[in-house]
Amino acid sequence: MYLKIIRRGLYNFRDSYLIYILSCSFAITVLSVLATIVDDPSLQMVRNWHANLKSLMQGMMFIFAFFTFIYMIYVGGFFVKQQRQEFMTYEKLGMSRHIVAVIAFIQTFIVQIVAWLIGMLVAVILQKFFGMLLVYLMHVRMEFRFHFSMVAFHMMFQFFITSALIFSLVNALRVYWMQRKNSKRTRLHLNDFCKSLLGILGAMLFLIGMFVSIPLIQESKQTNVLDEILPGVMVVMLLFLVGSYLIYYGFLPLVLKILEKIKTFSYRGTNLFAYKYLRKRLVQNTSIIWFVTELSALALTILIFCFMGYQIVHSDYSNSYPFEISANQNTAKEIRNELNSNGSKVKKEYSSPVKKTIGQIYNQNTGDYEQRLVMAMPYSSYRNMPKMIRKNNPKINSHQFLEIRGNPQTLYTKYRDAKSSVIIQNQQTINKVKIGAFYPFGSAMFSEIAMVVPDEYFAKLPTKFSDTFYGWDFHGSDKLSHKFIKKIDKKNNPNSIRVKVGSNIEKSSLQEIPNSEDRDWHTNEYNQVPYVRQANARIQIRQLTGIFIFLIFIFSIALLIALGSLLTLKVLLKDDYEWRQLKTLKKVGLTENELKQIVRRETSFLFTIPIIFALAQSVIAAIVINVALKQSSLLSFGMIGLAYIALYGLVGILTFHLSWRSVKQRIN
Amino acid sequence: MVQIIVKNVAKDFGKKKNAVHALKDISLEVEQGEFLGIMGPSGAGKTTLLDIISSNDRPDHGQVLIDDIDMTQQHDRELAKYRRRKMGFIYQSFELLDSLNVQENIILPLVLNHAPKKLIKQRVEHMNDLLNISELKNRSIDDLSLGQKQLIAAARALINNPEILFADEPTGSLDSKSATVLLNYMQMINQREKTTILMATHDAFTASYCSRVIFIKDGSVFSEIVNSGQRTDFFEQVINMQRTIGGGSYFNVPENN
Ligand SMILES: Nc1ncnc2c1ncn2[C@@H]1O[C@H](COP(=O)(O)OP(=O)(O)O)[C@@H](O)[C@H]1O
Ligand SMILES: [Mg+2]
Repeated sequence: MYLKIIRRGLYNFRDSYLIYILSCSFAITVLSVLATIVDDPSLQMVRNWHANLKSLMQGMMFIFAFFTFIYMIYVGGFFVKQQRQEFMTYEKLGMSRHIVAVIAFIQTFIVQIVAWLIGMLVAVILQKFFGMLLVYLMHVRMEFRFHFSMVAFHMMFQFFITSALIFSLVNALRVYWMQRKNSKRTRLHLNDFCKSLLGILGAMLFLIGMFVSIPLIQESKQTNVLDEILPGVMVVMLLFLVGSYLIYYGFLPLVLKILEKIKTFSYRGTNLFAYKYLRKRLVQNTSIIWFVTELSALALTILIFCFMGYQIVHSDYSNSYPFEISANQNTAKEIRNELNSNGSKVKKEYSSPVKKTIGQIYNQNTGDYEQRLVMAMPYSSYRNMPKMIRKNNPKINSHQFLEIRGNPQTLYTKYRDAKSSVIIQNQQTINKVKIGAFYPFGSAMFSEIAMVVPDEYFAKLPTKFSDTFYGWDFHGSDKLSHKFIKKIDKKNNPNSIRVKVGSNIEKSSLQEIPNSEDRDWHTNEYNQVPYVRQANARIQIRQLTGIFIFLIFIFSIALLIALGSLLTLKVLLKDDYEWRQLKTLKKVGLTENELKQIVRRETSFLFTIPIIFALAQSVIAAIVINVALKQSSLLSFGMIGLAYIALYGLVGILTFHLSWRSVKQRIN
Repeated sequence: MVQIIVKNVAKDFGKKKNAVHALKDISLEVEQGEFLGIMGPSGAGKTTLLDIISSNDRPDHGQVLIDDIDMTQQHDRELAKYRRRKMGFIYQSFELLDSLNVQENIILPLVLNHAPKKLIKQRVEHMNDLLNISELKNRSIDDLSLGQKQLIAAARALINNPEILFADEPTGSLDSKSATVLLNYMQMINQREKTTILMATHDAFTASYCSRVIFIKDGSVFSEIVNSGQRTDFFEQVINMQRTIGGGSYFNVPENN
């Protein structure tokens, strides 16, 4: 008979259990896959794997495990709450509290076992797929073989047993406790007036948060230091957190109540019932919706942040390495000979003379003029560079000056338009310079400031510190051997130069300084590398960004599934009272379409609210990114926001269909 | 003119092995403007029969024709429309929405039909006066007694002047005074507005308001009596018929009547 009770409990909520089990299984799958990937033998052969990437993966795995645990334990409690009435009845029928608790224990345990078995099974099936995805994203050329890791399996099994026991125990205790204190539920119940007041306060706080964040965004474009903006961000965050809760708690119910009271709206078809129903559902689920909102906002912020980070790494990478190989005059000849002899397919060779001198440049951050090393190149050589390089800088003609700075601030249009004058040693003041951010030959070849100048101007510059830079484009890769690289490294030490600052710019001078491996670098000391090879960096970048994308991908999908399923479960799990109401509506004469409309409204209401408020709150991401990464985040913000809306919309539609199906079944 | 024709209707509940034959082959005809009583012991199938005639439920076999339309062939959507336009229901279990207050419950059918506010107000005042429930207006359903709930359910059924009224034990929870008020009103609308009324009851006094009473037992029609116009005579006939059917303890009629 106990078995029958357990079976019935599971059967009655089969839709919801299915969703719970599926979302748990997904989390377990991801967890198991991560666990096996961490000590996968084929990945051990990838360079750099041991050093950083493995620990990165491991860290991610633990964070993931933590969230999975929280999710499972929290959502698992829903079912116990649903069966409250039933458990009470058993007790009234004379079953002891212990036995009812044991029933809850067994029920939870069964669900856990099913979830874990499915999860681990799917993990075994998908392991190869995930591994291949990772390897592909890391651009590592190797076969990812299926691998059954005893260590990972053992670990997962332990985790499985402990967590299943813990969850079941927690649910048993929940039931036990529920029965004991069923008579009096002392909960803070404010009257509607106070709630509405708090709600209005919440709406005001939220609005203030929005208004405060606008000047913060403006400010964040100016400042460099995160500390300056941090107090503001904290205040806005607090305003959002408290504000949105109070809005859910008091303001939205108030709005619905007002709609109820306005007879033009409420005396219209199903509205008479629908507003009250929505309000009731909202009041019941305030904390959940809030929880989902805040976590979604957090997830959005993280996603935007990561996406931006990825973009920056990428643009920084192509900024540093526009050519497969760049070299200066010391190494160019050797490299060219080697390229000719080893059969590399050179597409084109670029070159440009470069002269080093001293310039007085305005620094936006300090508001001062500073003397810096300036590396000039003539316009005619710049014009011959590949379009890919020039298109990232503002356009100039043969009489104009282009200043190129590594500072990403230069990406802001405001900065670009700034007209500061530049004074070059022994030359006339240049009044108008355009400012770009993309170095020809890559940022690694230059120090601090590069300038493209008219040809005649270039000719007049002193030639004491001059050089020639070369860049090669290839079909395929460069094919330089390890041995050759070693040889060239040994022969060519980077040479270094210092700006000796005088009382004014005319009295300053450049001097060569001896180079030793481990010296401290000071301001105005510059290092000239003899060559830069893209291939070295590419591997690391690709591996890093590969793992990055892999983790973000998994993490965001898991979070989405978790939060989406939370909402779905909340829509699906109605108590007896709500079922009775829907049945009565049918008897009163509501058509199927009208009932469907009510279900649709409920679903879209519960889904739209978190989406709107989460998007509104992730504006914080924009502020922080503006400061921390010095980039406008509008594009990624829009893209991720749209993706989020689309995915949640999809979950919402699915939920609606499930919900409608169960309603239809119950009322007929 | 015959308004409702029920032909060989049968209905089972449950699965094959332990199926309950709630209705077995019932046929009957109801004239327009008739006040038909349906009597029988508990579990005889009264509620099931009303549900099927009012197209709340579909029969396993047989047909139900209303105004020459075969209701069993209609789509659910059409049925819902038809029910809302032409029918009123007083359910045995009231089926009131406890999230709405009394007045909102009463006006629900009008609001669902997008009736103008003026009409709603006019009708609700009429019902309040008639059933003497105006002071309940703003109460919540949970605070009402069973009898009050039944009155509200009746008010809701009558508010949009239905052509056909289905009443399932409408006086079951009422004291004799309220019962008389309600029954008189039902008789009045039956006579004045020619509303067809189908009423299930197991109370002989209630049944004596009907113009005809059919008796069902174990899912089939057992017999019927027509009211000749003399209520006290008719009441006697009903009591006698109940005795004939037997199963006296099922009836809430005093044995030594
Ligand atoms: N939804 C249902 N499921 C199963 N059995 C039902 C259902 N509704 C009614 N019955 C059964 O059908 C028979 C007739 O019920 P009902 O029409 O309610 O009788 P009455 O209204 O005359 O008391 C009863 O035996 C009852 O148990
Ligand atoms: Mg009945």
